[in-house]
Order: sequence, then structure tokens, then C-alpha cells
Amino acid sequence: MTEAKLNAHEIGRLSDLARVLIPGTEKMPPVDDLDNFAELLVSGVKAIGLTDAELRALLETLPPDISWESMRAFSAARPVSFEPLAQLVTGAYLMAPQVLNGLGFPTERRFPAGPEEFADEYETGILDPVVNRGAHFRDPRLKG
Amino acid sequence: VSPTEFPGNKREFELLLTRKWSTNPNFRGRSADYPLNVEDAEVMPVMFGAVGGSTILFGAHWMRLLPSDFRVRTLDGVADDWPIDYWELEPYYNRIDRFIGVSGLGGDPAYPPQDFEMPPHPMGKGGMLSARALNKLGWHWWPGTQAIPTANHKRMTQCQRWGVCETGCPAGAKASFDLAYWPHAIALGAHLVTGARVRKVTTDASGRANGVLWIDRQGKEHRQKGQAVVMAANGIGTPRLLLLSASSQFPDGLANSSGLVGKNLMLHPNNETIGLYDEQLESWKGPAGQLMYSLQFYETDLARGFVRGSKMNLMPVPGILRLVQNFAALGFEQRWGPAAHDIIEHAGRALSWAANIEDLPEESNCVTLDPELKDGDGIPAPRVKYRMSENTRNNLAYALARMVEMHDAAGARHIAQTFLWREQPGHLLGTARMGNDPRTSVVDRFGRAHDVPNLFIVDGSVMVTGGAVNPTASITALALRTAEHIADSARDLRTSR
Repeated sequence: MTEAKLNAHEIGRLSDLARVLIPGTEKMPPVDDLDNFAELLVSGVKAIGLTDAELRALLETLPPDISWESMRAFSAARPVSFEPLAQLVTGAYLMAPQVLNGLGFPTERRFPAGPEEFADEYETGILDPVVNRGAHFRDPRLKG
Repeated sequence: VSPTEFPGNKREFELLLTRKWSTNPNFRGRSADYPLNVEDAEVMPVMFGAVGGSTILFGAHWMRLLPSDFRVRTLDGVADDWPIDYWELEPYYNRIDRFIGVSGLGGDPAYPPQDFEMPPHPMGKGGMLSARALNKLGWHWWPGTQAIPTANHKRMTQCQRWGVCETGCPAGAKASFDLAYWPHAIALGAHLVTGARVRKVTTDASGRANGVLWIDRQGKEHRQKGQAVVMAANGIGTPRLLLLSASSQFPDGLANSSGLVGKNLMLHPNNETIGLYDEQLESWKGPAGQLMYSLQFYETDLARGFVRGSKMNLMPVPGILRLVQNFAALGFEQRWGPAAHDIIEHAGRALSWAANIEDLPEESNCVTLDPELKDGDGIPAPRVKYRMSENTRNNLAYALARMVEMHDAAGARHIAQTFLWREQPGHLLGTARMGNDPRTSVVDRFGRAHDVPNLFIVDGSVMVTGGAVNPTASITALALRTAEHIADSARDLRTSR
């Protein structure tokens, strides 16, 4: 089982797919504006763990002309091939720091809670309606 | 597995989950896992072969069964009562909670009194929004109870709120049992052999267990003698091993005179609704874990068209790719092109309500040995047959509709519904049930096999019914109770001569 490797042609084809599926917007960068989309695709393929044969087989299903119309038809006709390819290019796009920054999504993910955070929530009285309802578990000892 | 290997803190996190860190052992391709034949199963059991087992992948929702769960036959006229009740297990729940550092808020009125030494996690913006919604609906909810410490505890660090609990905590802040138990057991003299695959529990001429045969990673077979054998191989692995341990004395499998080994498999089908919201909810923050749970629909109400109920939990959605995947039901135009950004931009603004559904024991749902499929050592793999009953389907549908109401009440703009979460959860229960009557159960009230007096089972197999809560707290409490019974009765234990 050989680990999959992408060549330049394949990176180009996958980038074409990404341009169709996730074009840039006013707020979000297109793949062509990302510093390292090719490298992200390579990392994505490795992360998924596709074998070389699996990757080749998937890429061979892509229509020669990658356009909005052809991808819509491809997704309907061959969803089993389309979905993993769409997942790969979307996953690679979402790894880019520029994209995460555009979304306001933190790249530093450690957020240990402060000692007062829950207490502050509790003191809003948010739990009062639940507590005021009183105990309501079903006690089998009381049956009959 | 070292926490440094876990995928959650890597940028490729979500792509790593597609195969290498899939919950499905058939996809992962790790030598420590064994394959499952699930051709006839509607739900894919989650499991993980490693030190700490499937707790590596559990969400650490630490929920006790409710008193009614032990008396389902008496109260609702279905399934069976347990040979023990809630109050018999309660002291063990309390001790386990303290030992592993369970965090939570005491006083939940849906439970008998309980309290926790470790304070609860904050619910965050998403939790507060949802709490207000459930208050508006007049429905029960409570801040999440979890085996995730809110302060440093023994070998575990304070939760860093990565939100990736179900794929292994990269911070070492979840009470998976490689951290919560094994180091303590080893310090007390336990000998841990990694990579060992047990293929048979052996017995002597009197029918008592006298050890196990196991295979190392070089393929060499070993024999480990023992005065008692304790099995903790989960609700699929344990019946598999009991069936593999058939002999001329036990032709139908070990401890199987009742014929119930492998039967009554319960898997707690799950379903899910993901809501997308306008406001920033910081839903990249964990724990996940559960921000809160609701037991509003836990107990039987026959007006709903089914018996028993569900536990619902609110979780953050830290993955962005997951949002795109969860809205796969949308058409191409609504999911790709400029529309893809309509979904993606909800990163941090998504919440998941998921329900854990109580499924009732049915003998037709079972684990057997597959005649063809083998693991890496050539040992027959388990074949899992699991079909949901009409009662379970009605329960799923009802829970799904209620969770949509929860999102609606909280102001969700879009809601994605998954009627059945096929690859969840890892609650593998009921296949070596406990009971007082050897004709209708596999083990006694202490987890001792009726047929083999020095063979004990301490996993989810022994559960008579599954309740609708995450079962690990109960499995662990039962295990502690069994362990103490073994110690207390060691002098009288009938061992192999």
C-alpha cells in the first residue's frame, strides 16, 4: 500500500475544483490568494490516508472540464467520488490561516475557563426555573 | 496512544477523522483493532483498541442511570428489572466521581440528590442561549456533568476547552482510562501488557477459569494463569471472547448455559440536529463534552407513542468542515459556489443538540462469531446484528422533533437534521446481562458468571437495560462494586485447583 502523492497536474485539477466549489467572496479569499494551497492539498491527502491507487482512482473520475455545470452533473451522477474530492479541497481551504482569520476562527485553541465563569452564569438566575420546578425523578420505591 | 498523536490539535484535524481517526474500526486500519461484520447492523458500533480502550474516543458525558432505569419491567411493563437498584449503586458512583475528578453541579431535580467536588464547566454563549430557550419552553436542562476536570486533577490537566474530546484530548484533560486509572493500577502493582490479544479463556476439569491464552504482536501465543479472570472487553468483545472460549465442557461458549451470551445487544441509537445562528457563540470552545443536558423526555409518556425516552445533550461544533458535511442534504446550488460560504461563515455559530435513545433489549439483536471474517491474528471477528424496533424509531423521531423545537426557540436560522447518526455511539450494552436467575441471565448481581464462579465481567455487557444516559459512569460504578466483591470474597472464591 503506497501513500498517495500529488503531482503538479493533479494539484492543478484539484485547485480547479476548489475554485468552482469554494470561490472567493468579498470577505473570504479565493484559493489563488492563499499562500500555500498546494501544500495544504498535499497535507490533506496525507491526513485522509488515501493510498496512491485510491487517489488516482478518485481523480480519474473527475470530468476533463471542471466547471460549475460539469461539477453539478458530476456530484449528481457520482456522489461517491464527488464527496471525498469536495471534502479534500474544502478541508484544505479551511486549513489556511487566511481563511480562518477571515472567519474570525481562532487558530490558538486553548481557552481554559476562569474560576468565575460558571459562577457568573449561575448568578444570572438562569437555573431558577429549573430548580423551582422541584424534584421530579421517578422513584420506583413509591410505586403503588 | 500518546496524547501527542491525537488529531484534535492539528490543522488537518477534520480530515484525519475521515479514516486514520475514524470512529469506525473497519476504516482505521490499526492493527490493535479487530474488524466487525456489520452487514446486518443499522448502527456502527464505535470502539478503539488501545490502553484505555474506547474511552480514548468517549465524550466523557458522565451521567448516572436514573432510579427508574433499574425497574423498567415494574414501571413500564417492558424488558426486565435489574437485580440491584439505584441506591445500591449510588455509593460507587460517588466514589468514582471523586477518584477521577468528575465536574458538575449538584442539585439536578431530575435526579436523587448528588453533588460533585469539581465545579462545572461554564456553558458559554451557546449554552446560555440554549438555556434561555429551554426555560422559555419550560423544559428541563442542567449544566453538563463530565469526566473532564475543571482544575488540575492527579495526572490530568484542567480542561483547555479544545472541544475535541471525542477524538482524544490533546491536553490530557479527559478521564480516559489510560490517564484516570491505569497509572494508579500500575503503581499498585498491576502489570500492563500492551498489544496482547486474548483469544480464549481457559477452564480446568471442574469448569473453573484458570487463565487465558493471548497472542503478542509477533504472533506468539502465551498462557497467563490466574485464580480469577475479569473481563472488560466491551459489549461486543466480551461475548466474542466467551463464544471463542467454547470447549467440550462449554460447547455453546463459556458462561452460556442460558444461551444469552451475545444476545440483547443495545447500542443507544443517536440522532442530531445542528443549528446555525446569527450571533457569535464561540462554539469552538469545549468541552464536547456536553455544555448541558436535558432529561425532559427521559421517562415514559405513552401519549408519545412509545415507551422509555431519551437524553439530549448540547455540544459545541468546533469543526468547520463538519458543517459543510452536515448540510449535505442541500442541493448542489445551496451547498457549493458562493453558497458554501453561507455555511462556512457559521463557524463558531453552530450548536448541536443530539439525543441518546433508549433501545430495549431484544434477543434478535446480537453478537455472534463471523464464519469468515477474521482479525489480524486469524481469530473469528464478531458479527453484529442490530435492527431498531418500531419503539426505537418512534423514540428517535420524537426526540428529533423536540430538538428542532429547541433550536427554533433559541433562534436558529438553519437547522440540519440527522434522523439516525449511523456511526455513533460507542455504548455497547446488554450481551451478558446480570440477574438472579441463571436461566435468564449470564452473570449474577456482582458480575460473576453463573456458570463459572471465578469469572467476572465488568463492562457494559452486564447491563440489563441501557437507560438513555451515557453508560460509562454506570459501567465504572458496577466495576468498582464487582472489584470490591472479589476482594471481599477472595478467601471463599472457588478457584481452579
